[in-house]
Amino acid sequence: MNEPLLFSNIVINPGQREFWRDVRSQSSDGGQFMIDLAKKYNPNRFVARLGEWSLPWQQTIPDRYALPEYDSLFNKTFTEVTDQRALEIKSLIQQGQQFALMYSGGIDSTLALSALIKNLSNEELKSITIAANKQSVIENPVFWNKFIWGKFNIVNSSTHKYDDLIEKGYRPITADEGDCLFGMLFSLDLYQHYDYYCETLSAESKTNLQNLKSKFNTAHYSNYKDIILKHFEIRDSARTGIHNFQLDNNPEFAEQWYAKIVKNIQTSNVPVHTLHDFFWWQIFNLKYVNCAMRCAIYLNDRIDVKSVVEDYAINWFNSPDYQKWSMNNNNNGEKIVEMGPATYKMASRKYIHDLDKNDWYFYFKLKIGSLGASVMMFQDLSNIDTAQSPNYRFGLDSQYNVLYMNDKSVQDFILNCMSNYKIDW
Amino acid sequence: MNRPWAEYYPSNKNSPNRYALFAPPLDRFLIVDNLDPWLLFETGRILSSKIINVAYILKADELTNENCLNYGTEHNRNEANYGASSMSSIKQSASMAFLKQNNIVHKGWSTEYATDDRRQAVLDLQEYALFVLQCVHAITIAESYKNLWPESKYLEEFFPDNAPEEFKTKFDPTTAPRGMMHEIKNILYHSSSLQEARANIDQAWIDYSQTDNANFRSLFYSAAGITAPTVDQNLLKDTITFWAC
Repeated sequence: MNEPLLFSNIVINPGQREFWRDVRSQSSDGGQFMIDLAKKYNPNRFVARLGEWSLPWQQTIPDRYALPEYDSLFNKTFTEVTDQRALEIKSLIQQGQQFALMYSGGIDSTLALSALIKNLSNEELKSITIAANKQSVIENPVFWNKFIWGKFNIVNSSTHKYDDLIEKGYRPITADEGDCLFGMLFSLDLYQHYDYYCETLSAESKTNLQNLKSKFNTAHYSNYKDIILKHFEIRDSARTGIHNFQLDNNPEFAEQWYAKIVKNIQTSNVPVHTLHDFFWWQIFNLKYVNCAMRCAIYLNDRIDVKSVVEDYAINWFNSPDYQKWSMNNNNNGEKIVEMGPATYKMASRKYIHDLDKNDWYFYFKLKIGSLGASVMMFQDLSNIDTAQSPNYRFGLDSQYNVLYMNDKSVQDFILNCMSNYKIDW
Repeated sequence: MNRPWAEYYPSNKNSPNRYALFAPPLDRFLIVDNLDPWLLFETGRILSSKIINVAYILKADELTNENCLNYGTEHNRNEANYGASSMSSIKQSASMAFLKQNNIVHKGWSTEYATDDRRQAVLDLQEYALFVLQCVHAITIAESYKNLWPESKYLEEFFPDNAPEEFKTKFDPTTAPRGMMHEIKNILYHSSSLQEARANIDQAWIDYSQTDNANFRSLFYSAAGITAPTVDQNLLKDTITFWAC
């Protein structure tokens, strides 16, 4: 662990709660902040692809997930980029490769499948297997009936992890980075609670923010600082249930988190102006690696992660063009039209609707956290040593070796890093 | 709205609305009802093919089906626990929750559905939801009163592995392969519009009720308060006469 890590993960789960509680008590202010960040966004896997961003340990970005150069002249449409992505898969099929699309019925995986159906021949589609589960069926019943059932080979994604699929000869395709591209995951909750938050602020701030509500995609994000800070506060009630992680709250946390993101924005050369941009950047830059790598790490027990990442897994949205499109289409109605969840991923909704003509889905589909809710929670862990189960995977070293929380050397490494890490932003 | 099915709930039919379907994508209540929470929940289950929803037990005398699209819930940090728009806590399958009166607030029409096409989509959805509720009440009433031969349902539920499969046929007085309750709900779950659902329900009754000597079909239509399609009487089999022979 002398070389930079490739992935790290502070997660508060029953198996690790006591460890992180002890670490926090021995951490410096930066270490405490990192654990509080995990408490806020369990898990904490934030790492910047661009701009200044410190962590308790050295960590680098795998080349394939590096941020492409911002190109203000990029002008391909979402449809063009999506069709191109499907044609890339088509080319690989023509080389004899077989694929398993991780399909949840949500917008991202439905987009990927729509593109494949649109751009591949019936013969070529025989090389696509759908990895789905019972939640996938009811999340998008129209698409299931019309385009999947009876037309594709289907495997159960709840019992077929990445290693199972690869061992059967498939390359897994995931659309897990859709939220990074469209960038709303961290703001939807704020949008839903906007009026509620306003009620808790001063009269002057409340009036100001109510006037700004409709300008979320034009006004500078700093105008919303009061409500962003309110949104960033850690509240114990938000972390009940399975997390049940109680710590003394740091009253400075919200301000610290805001300042850390702002510093990152100001040291990057990508336009981040509006409230929407602010939250988009939080996931597009800071959570991208998590979305890109988590399946290879947590839905895989047998195949070395490097091989999965470099040779097998395909992240549908991890193309330079998709990312360039994302950097150039933030406030024009392609990603969100109104403040709220119902117009989220509008470009994808339109693409899907062109194929399936399903008005209900187009107008009313809501984001569901499918990976955690319907895949990872149902993993069969009976054949895995508890010490090496996904819940105990801390990260990857520079050679893609998985680091386990039960390893004393990993624990010592974490404690040493956290106790020396100071707030430096 | 004329609600003949309300006659079957004498103690509730004039009471205020106590049950509502909340639609997180709209952040508003989609429909309200005062008769039966479990059938409203069943309506939500069927409607989940179109929209995520939560069946709330609530106390809000001001809510009606004419104004509920302007009402939502007060957003506090606990709302995720009972199924509103906080993303990570929602699921496509319907759920049920209790909502205190002070969580209901007037919000006006959703700004996310202000354009003409999106407004119409919401109104179409509400109309569809009310039709589903209407049909769920009607088929439940008709099934309860007029299904004289429900034995296959007993076998399916109570003898899943210890009765011959061939016994599990004819679920009600019709010839619908799995019974009309199943048929109607499936049509409502899978239809893409109210017109399609209505046409398919009518057709299903025409196709499957030729042996219906128990007036199962008639009670469905009368309880629902909708006009039954005209059926060629020559197609109907006089099963009672047949058995009497």
